Amino acid sequence: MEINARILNDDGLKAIKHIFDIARSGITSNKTAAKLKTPDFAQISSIIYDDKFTTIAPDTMIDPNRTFSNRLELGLYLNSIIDKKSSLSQYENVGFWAWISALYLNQILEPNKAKTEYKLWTDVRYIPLREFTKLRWYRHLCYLPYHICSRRPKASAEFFLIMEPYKHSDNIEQLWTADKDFTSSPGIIEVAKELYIDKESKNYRRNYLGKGAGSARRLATVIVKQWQMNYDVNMLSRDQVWELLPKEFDGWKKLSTR
Amino acid sequence: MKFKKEINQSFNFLGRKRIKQKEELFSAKTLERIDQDVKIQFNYDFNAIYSSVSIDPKIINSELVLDVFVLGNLTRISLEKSQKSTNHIISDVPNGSNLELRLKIISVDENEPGRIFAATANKMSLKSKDDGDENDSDSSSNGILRFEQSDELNGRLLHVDWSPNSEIEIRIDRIFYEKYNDKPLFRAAIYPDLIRSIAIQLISHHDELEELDESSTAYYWLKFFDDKLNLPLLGQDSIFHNSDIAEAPQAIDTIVETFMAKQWHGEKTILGEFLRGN
Repeated sequence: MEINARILNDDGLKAIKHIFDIARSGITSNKTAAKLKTPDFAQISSIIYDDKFTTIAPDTMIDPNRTFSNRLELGLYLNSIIDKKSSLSQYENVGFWAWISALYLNQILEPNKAKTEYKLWTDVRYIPLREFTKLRWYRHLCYLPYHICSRRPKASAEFFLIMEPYKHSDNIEQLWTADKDFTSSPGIIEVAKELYIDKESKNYRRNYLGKGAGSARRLATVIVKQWQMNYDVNMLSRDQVWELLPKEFDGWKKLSTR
Repeated sequence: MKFKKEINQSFNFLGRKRIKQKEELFSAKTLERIDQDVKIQFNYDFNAIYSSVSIDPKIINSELVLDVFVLGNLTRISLEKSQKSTNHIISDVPNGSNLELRLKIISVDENEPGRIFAATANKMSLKSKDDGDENDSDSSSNGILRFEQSDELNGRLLHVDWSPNSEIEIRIDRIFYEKYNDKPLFRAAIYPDLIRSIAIQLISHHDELEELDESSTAYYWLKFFDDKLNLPLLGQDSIFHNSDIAEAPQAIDTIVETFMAKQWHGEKTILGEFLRGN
């Protein structure tokens, strides 16, 4: 059943952060995840529906029970319910995006096998910063999939988002942020999908982000950087990109045609 | 169109020419921002751009375009021969993000799709922020130059360490500090080594940068390199990629060179301040 989406106010944000901070007590390194447990979720749930801590977001209905098998599904769903012209669509709408994160928190935190504990990382993955910073915005686990899906066709968005909703992966760090000419070129993304996504398992091929010959990392950070000096890469078709690929990609080409 | 497939960073095998980034050829100015829409005025001299790269638009079937990148999204604007100036609204631009521009002369010949005849070498950066002169703000450098004086540096002037909580600790020879800290010599002698050491620390800990606490000095330095030197170590424009450690020496050198070449207070480089100030 759909409900009105909400926006956390300052007290609501403080209350959520307080729960996160308590979970992190005693942890000194940001390379170690804190753990959220079942009672924490109950506490968070009581905050996000409380009028003391939230206000109703205008004209936006959301299904709190919806489940997402990957980031793409999350991004497509959020794109379907959020008006792109409204202020809700902006990263700087801290209260809204923090509320979305809190609503789907059990899906954007990695659970243990028994689903009794969930890994909590730094706040920027769940609560946007008040001021936009290009080093941080793409790490928000709900905003980034929404952003990509609202600006790219599904076929392109898929390449960046077919991992679990809780994964801020190397894919984003190494590829999405690698080079504007890579992310914005439909022909290149189409080829990248063929090379690095297994059609049957619908998952990335092993070592696609490795440092070796023909990897997606090399394509994004070395090859496309060189191409853009000579080609109008955003206009290259899939076939042109395929033909341009150097020999080091031959092994990946063979995999894609199996 | 026959594609060549060799990858060679320095070999421009299609004969692309370089459009110089000169004000008299092209300039851009932010006129206003309304929410996430930024209105920009682009001024350009179509004929001068073509003649600067010796391309005759009557002979070469081409188009002058401007690519505007923001957060990985591309907007392409066609710059008409008949105009000198054009205004455009670029949408979805968060306040504080940078727009990047690249001017290109591209083929519109159906037999040569995707070919660039000429382009600017780098993407030109245009601040989208609406809060005035960036030089008025020095937030990213506040509080990061904390020198701890030391008697145990064994003949070195300074030593930089990365502590477990991502604090960059700077120790400096006590006697040198006491004698020279208020003199231009101090900055000329210390800063190149200081910046190099900090760049080495950030790059050595590159896999930790994305999770840095924003109150840590390491994060301040990361921001400083990005904001003041326009040399990000993370994100879309990073000058270093963890995948290729061979990039590290070049990235570190670029940071030091850019820092030392920049004109700081009084419009002097740090070395210039020392040489002329004494």
